[in-house]
Formats: sequence, C-alpha cells, structure tokens
Amino acid sequence: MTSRHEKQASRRWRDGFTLVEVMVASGILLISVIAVLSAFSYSRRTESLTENRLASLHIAREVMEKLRLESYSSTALALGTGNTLPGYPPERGYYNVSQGGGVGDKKDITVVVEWVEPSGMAQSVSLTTSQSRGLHK
Amino acid sequence: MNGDKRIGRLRCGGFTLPELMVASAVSVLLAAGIIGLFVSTLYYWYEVSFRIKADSDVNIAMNRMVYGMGDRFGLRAASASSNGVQIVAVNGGGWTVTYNTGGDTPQTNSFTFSPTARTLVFNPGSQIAGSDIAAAQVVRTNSTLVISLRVEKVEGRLTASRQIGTTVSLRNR
Repeated sequence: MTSRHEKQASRRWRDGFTLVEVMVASGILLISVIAVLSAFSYSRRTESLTENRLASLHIAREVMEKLRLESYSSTALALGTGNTLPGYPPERGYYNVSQGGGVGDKKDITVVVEWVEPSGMAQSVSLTTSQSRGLHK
Repeated sequence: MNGDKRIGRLRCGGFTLPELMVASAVSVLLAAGIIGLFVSTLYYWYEVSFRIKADSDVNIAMNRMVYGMGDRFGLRAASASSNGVQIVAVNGGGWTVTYNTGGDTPQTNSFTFSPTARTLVFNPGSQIAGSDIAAAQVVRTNSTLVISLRVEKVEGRLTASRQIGTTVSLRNR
C-alpha cells in the first residue's frame, strides 16, 4: 500500500498534461480565437457592404428622380438596355427602359448601380419604377 | 525517501516564482489582447456612427432644400416664371438661390451656401439648413433644378463624407 501510495504521489508530481490533452485544449482555444476574429472581420465586411450600398442607393435614387421628370417620349426614356447613368461614368451602372404591360402606355425603368467591394466581390443595387404617358407629357 | 520529500512539497508547495511569472505574463498578454480588441471595436463603432451621422445630415439638408423649412416652401415649389429662380454667385465660391413660389400667397425664399462657413442658410429667418457642407451646387436647366450636396465631417482622426443629389421640376413650366 505504501509503495503504491508513493508511486501515485510520484506520478502526480511528475505528470504534466499528456500530448492529447494539450492538443485538445489548444484546439479548443484556437477555434474560439478564430471565431472571435472572424466575427470581427465579418462585421467589418458587413459594414463596408452597408456603407457602399447606402452610397449607391443615393446614386440610384438621384438618377431615378431625374428620369422620373423626363417626359414619356423623351430620348432618355427610349426603349433600350444598358443606358449610361446620367452624370456618372459607364462603369458605375446602367438603366433599362422596357415597355410595360397593362392598360395604357407604360414604361418600366430599372436603374442598376454597381460597385466592387474591397474583397473584390462585385455588388449592385437596383430601383424599379414605371412611367406612364401623363396628361401633359 | 525521495517520494516522501515530494509528497511534502506537494502538500505545502504553492507556485514557484517562474510559474507565477509565466502565468501572469500570459494573463497580461491575454488581457492586453482583449482590451485592444475592445478599444478597436469601440473606435470602429464611433467611426460607423459618424458616417451614419454624415449620411443623415446630408439627407436633412437636402430635404430642407427641396421641401422647405418650417412653414416656408422649398425649391420644389419654385416657379418657372422669369423671376422664379435666381442663382447668384457669392464671393469665395458660394452662391445664393432665391426663388419665388408663385400662387395666391407667393413666398420669396432663399438658400445661401457659404464654403468658408460650410453652411447652408435659409432666408427669411437666417436659419441653418445644413452645416459641415463641403460642396453644394444648384444648376438650372430649362425646367428643372439639379441640386447636389456633399457633407464632410471631421472630428479628430475621424472623417466622413457623403454626397447626394436630386432633380426637382419647376412649377408651371
């Protein structure tokens, strides 16, 4: 009994952690650190996306407000796709005008604003409206 | 004998000095990392809210220009008549746009942009319609006014800028 007790005490003193224990522990630590850091970088990417989307939405709204003031048969609202946004370079986006269905004359206008995220991912926002042949237009 | 000695150490031994130093060094590193993360997140939060503030400021200024302030109408109500809208340049790159609303109870209102004060002032009443305005433009085409505004805010190392624009159609064109 005594020798066993001594042996146990001695083992308790000498033993650190086993390799498996250390690996499991550091694995768990690594996973949690990666989780925290990736949450951080994810929030940064989300913020960048939101920021650019907001700025692009302002551009889309500005262009849409300009197009809404055009008369139905103006050249700006001629049927066609891939028109350059007025006041912006061609790579910023485009707008499409198509003949809408339904009663009476109606044109569907879609404004698309594009940008590239810092990660290199291409993004876009779009606004759509319809313009009818008004009484005075 | 050897074993007895170890049992003795095990019973009354706390941590050795090197153990304590390594442990405290590790905790200091860990605490520094966590505090650093916290501070950078806090700063980042300020940065984002600062940009949102710039966005909201430029939107408010633009809405005041288009819809008016108080019970006075904005550029949306400007008349297309010959004296409906007058845009006059002011020294230093600024301008004043004076507009008449026409109708039964016509109003004559104006917005003045000052690049030095970086403000947009509404008259009558000299009300501040916008501040931190870095650039502003009103261009009259035949029957529309093309308006653009840019707000730039600076606070310490933080900067935020946001530009918006719109087009309004003149009345009775």
